[in-house]
Amino acid sequence: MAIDKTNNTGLVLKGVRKEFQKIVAVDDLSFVVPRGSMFGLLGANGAGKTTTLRMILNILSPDAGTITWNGQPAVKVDRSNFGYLPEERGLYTRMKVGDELVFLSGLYGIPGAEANRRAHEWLEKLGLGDAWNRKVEELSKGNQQKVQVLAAILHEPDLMLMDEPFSGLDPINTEVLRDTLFQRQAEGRTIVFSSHRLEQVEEICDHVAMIHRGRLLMSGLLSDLKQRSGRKMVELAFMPADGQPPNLGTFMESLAPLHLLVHEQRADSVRFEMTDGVKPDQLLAQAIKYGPTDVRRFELAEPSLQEIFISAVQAADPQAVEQLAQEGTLPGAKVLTEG
Amino acid sequence: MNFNHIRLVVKREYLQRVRVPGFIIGTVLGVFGIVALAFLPTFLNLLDNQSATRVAVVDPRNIIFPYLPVQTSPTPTPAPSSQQNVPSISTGLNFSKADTEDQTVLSQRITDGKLDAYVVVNGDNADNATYTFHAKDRPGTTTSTQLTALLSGASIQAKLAALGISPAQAQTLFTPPQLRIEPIVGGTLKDEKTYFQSVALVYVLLILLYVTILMYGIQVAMGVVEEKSSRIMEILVTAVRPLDLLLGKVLGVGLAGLTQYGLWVVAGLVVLLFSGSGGSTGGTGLDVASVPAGTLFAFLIFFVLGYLLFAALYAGLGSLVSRSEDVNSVTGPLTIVMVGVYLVSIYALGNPDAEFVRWLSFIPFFTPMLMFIRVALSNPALWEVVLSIVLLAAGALFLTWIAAKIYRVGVLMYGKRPSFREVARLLRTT
Repeated sequence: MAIDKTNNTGLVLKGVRKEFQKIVAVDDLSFVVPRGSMFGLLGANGAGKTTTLRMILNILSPDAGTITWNGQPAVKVDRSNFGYLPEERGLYTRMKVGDELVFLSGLYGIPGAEANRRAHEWLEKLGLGDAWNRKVEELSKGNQQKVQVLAAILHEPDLMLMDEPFSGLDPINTEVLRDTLFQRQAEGRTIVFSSHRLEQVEEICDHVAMIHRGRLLMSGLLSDLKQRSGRKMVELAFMPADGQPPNLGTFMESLAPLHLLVHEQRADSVRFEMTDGVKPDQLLAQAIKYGPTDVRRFELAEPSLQEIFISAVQAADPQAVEQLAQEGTLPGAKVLTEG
Repeated sequence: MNFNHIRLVVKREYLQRVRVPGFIIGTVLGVFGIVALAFLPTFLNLLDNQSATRVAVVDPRNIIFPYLPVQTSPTPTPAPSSQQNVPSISTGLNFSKADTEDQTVLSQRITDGKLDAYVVVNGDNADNATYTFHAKDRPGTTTSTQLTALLSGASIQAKLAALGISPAQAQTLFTPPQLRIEPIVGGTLKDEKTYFQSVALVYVLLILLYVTILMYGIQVAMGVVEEKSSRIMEILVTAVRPLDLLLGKVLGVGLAGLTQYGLWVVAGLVVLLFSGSGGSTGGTGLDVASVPAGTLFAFLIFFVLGYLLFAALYAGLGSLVSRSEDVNSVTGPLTIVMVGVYLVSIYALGNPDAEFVRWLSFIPFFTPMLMFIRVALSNPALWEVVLSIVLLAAGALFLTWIAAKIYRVGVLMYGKRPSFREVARLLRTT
């Protein structure tokens, strides 16, 4: 599919709202997905990510608001411009892999011979060269998902919408999928994917929109968001003590007057958020003085995607973080404690 | 309508069904069944000839033997006595004149298996003759009935001969009077034979139509549910219009069914060719060649349109549920409708001209069966036939359209019934 460069506004959502039987799934949602970006739509389970994607694809119609792709209402855009990886994976399980891919590509207007060629090429690329004549149901879950991904990208759509593409993939296949998506992006295509595993997608997306309970928390260029947060993190690690993890108790107690936020405490390391008026040097001095062993690592860092998300949720909906942590709907969500 | 999409869906549905081992096995078994049915009579005849009961007749005075058929034509007989476990006393009696009167010798021959039974004729002439049947076992009902019939026939002929009546004269005595049936002045009379064959044929075709709709209709419903339960419909609706999808599905399943029937028809025709005259096929007494081409043509039209109508209904009902276990319960009411239609058509078979049959034959659900019955057995006006076909086709399309709407709304309603508002909104936006 040739990429039309005449209008580059990308995907624009304005004031989108969707209600299901009095439950508001998405409320006044607006964000811009620039063309050619790798866009992460992030939020906990049930935040409204899938509903948003479905509205972009016109599987659901919004109750209010507009969705446009390069200035054209998304409903009117030729379907072959879109590729979709649904959250609930769906394939004809009793069909052969090759037949299935050729059939689905055909529905997007790719002629049989061409679809055949592409399917062969891509299956080979993803290490499924021998799967052509096997039924989908005979494949492992991970391989089924690869086929599902191919079903979404084989017709070379301009905009790919992927709902939790990395869930259920092992590290090797995650890598393969990442490379595949980056390759598509390098061709100038736009990829929107949703995820609730923020730490997993941090290095993948360049743009993000974070939503919580159907509402937008923030959106934009990831590096920009990190910078704008103005937060500084410090990571501190100690040497092991005779092969045992060092005892951080005395050290942590010594920090009480500094009122630092402890983001993550492991056996031999701690991640802090610096508060105003406390200099990193001060912290290092404390570590040298009260630390159980020598300092192994001392590092200033940007806040992680997850940290940005959690503090944004905390600002918008103070009780929510604890709830998310209890429900386990957002891995890594935890209530911050003062050190 | 996107014909490329329809073509792709038809192709997929067709190939997915035709390639399945179950389909191939079913089709091949069907072909075998047809061939077996066709050759069954011939086969039974063969069996009968081999196992004809050999009966020696001890009749030194030639009282009755000349009037017995030396070899009775092996008439096919009802099953029970023709089973292989009692071959010696089955059907067909093969009479021969005994070359000895010594019953010990004859009995020995029976023991040796060279003979099955012998009949001893006692007396001076046909009037006072008595007959004794000797065999290892009591003869079966069929054999003894045949034996009695043959003996009494021979006995009458012998008596007639004694009275000086020649065999040719005797023949005329037993010829029944001829009765001809003519139409009233200015009327036409449907050929009796053709009429009964039409009724029989229509009945067979009715059952065929009924079974087909049930069988393939359920398959359409299952196919729809498969798409819902495997969640692939979420991808499909982003690429294809549901109407195209359902049209393709219904046509694809229908073509697979037609392929099966086509192969069976070809098998039937080949068998007809090989077995010579078409009269004895399957023992149903159906002479396909005598059925007017118009009837067969009407059957094809009503068959196809009837299938499309009900298949669309099945597709719509299938769209309401998301699990294959629920297909039967949701299509249950339709099955009841089908039974109702079937019962009405059984009545119509005997009364094709009844007023309510005429009216019902315009209602799409009834048309495939009732209008077909009327075309085959009565004389509906051409406009009536055309009107009913138009209504039926329109009904089929309309129902497919409705089914597509339900399908579209049902995409995301796993386990829930689509609400009115959702339907209304989607009707507006699509």
